[in-house]
Amino acid sequence: MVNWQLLSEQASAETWDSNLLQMPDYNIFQTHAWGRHRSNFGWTPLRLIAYDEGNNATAMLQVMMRRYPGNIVLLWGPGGPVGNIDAWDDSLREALVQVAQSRRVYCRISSLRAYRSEDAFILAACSWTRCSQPLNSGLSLCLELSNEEQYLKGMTKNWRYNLNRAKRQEQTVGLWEEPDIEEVRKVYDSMEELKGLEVQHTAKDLLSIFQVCRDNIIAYCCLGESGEVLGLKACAVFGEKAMDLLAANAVEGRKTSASYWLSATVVAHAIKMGVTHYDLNGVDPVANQGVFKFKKEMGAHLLEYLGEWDWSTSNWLKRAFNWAIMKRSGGM
Amino acid sequence: MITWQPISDETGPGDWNNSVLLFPDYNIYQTYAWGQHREDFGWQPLRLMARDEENRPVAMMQVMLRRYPGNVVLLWSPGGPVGNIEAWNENLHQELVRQAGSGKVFCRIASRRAYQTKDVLHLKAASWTKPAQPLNSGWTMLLELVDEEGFLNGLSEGWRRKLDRSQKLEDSISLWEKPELEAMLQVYDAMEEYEGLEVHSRERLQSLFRRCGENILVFRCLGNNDEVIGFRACARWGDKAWDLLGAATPEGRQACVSYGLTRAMLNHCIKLGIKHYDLSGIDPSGLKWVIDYKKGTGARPLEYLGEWEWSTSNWLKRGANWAIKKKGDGL
Repeated sequence: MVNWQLLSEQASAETWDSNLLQMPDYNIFQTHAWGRHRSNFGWTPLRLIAYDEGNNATAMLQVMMRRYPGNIVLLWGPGGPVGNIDAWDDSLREALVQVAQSRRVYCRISSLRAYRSEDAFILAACSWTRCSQPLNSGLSLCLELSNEEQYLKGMTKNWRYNLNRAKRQEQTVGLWEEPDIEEVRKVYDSMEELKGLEVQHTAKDLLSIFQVCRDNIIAYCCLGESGEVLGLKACAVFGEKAMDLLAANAVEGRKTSASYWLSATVVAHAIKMGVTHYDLNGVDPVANQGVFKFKKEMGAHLLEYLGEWDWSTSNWLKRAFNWAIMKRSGGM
Repeated sequence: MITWQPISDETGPGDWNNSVLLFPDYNIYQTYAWGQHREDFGWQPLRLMARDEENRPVAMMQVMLRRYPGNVVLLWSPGGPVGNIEAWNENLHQELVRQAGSGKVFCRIASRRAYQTKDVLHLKAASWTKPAQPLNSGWTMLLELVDEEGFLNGLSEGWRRKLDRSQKLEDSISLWEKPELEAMLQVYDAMEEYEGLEVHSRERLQSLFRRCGENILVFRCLGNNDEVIGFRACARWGDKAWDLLGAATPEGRQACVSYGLTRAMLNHCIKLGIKHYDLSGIDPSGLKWVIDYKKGTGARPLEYLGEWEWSTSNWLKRGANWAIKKKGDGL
């Protein structure tokens, strides 16, 4: 029997991240800073801890709450819950309903732990269902890192060739300690236009990430001959894990294979910080084979997440939210 | 480029089965005999094979067809397709429409391969969707068999205790080489009265043994008066087996006969070289004792890739799901 408790903002600011690091499936999206970042976009972060009979923290969940007319509450737990999966049961849902102060609750979680059928069975037995409209592919590629030499050996010949080619171009790669949001957006603009993509990150989103999560972020940029930004790459580091966050290349940067040099440099930096597990943050080997190939050839292995599951106080609400997500994905 | 083509009935069961067996996700529901069994209930089995540019078979599918007024065609493929999932694409849809001879087709598949996100992405990219009304939970318990010792070591405490209790029946449990339908039905009747469970019809059992008898193993336990107090049947094919039938009278239940029968069945399967024993379905939110019983054998939960559907029209898809909701079983 576990007991889920809501942590106050003050208590969580002091202890949340250190407790989180005790859970093997900790990740950047469950950090206190990430919750603060999302709060800049209308979400209210709620932080809950499950205690067992011996009063030991056994599971944790940072969930983002948004209230809609009619006291309908949307709860979204990116990267969570973490910890003992047996605790993600009725007791969690009761606690969520209580903290939401509503009987019309839709909750979606997105666990980043590796898929195991045993875990999926526990979730299914606890009335969680797989989301009919997932926000992400549920797959990623991961680099297991010990030292730079081993990392370089793991790359394919083709990837290494492109890396060396990038280093021979008239460009330089360096740590970007104070990223200029306007410059970052320019690179994204160029990439989005070239690939016909929707806006990946708004200026507000970027500003919030760099301001609120700055302690966790490593950002590098690639500059051309005249000092223009050709590409950028940023990852978030938490404990021994890193997660790709931002990556973009301007048209010129694509020509000079800037992404190879940037990726290799960011990973090398992460290794120096003691990162052993680098998540390349999502791949879709069916719909986006190019990106999949790029990441795979870095020497990464496929990681299937336990993924997205949802639960609601009403089946109609569940359908409605899935419909709404289908119509307007992104933004959670 | 992958091309799907129908396999004529003249090809015969031997060739079909041998080809299906080459794919790792082969299963009893894709055998020729299973198609014949379903044929006894008004379904028309269609058998298709996908070949690559070099004419090598890459995927296969046995699908049951049923035609409704207005030339609406329902296609249902239990356990299929099998083989390379990249072949379960628009070419397959086109071939199904061609074979159905109709522009109003609803097709549901129920793959028995283990759930993998990559497979899900392939299916979604090929316009398959998850059914609003699935027929099954999409879960089973899978027991990996190595030897008897391994099986006994994997048992839970509770399961082992019950097995010990059934020990006194050991001499009464044996392979039932020529299962008698009447005796089986009597056990089902007794169980139905006792537990209020729905049982298999005479026609279904008759057809099952007539068509698939070669693949079926049955163990029974006899009571004091030589009456059957419990039996268990599985279908076996290649190095896999699937639970099919099982029933016990109140007397058999009291003596924990199902534990003794399961052990005898699994021992026999091990001797036959069976490596994977599928306990044929489980509902994660279902009866706890059923889950505990299956889990107690040392089996682990397996999530199937499961049911997916595709239709020439969204309205037809909704209609078919509505009909399935009204009349759950029967596919």
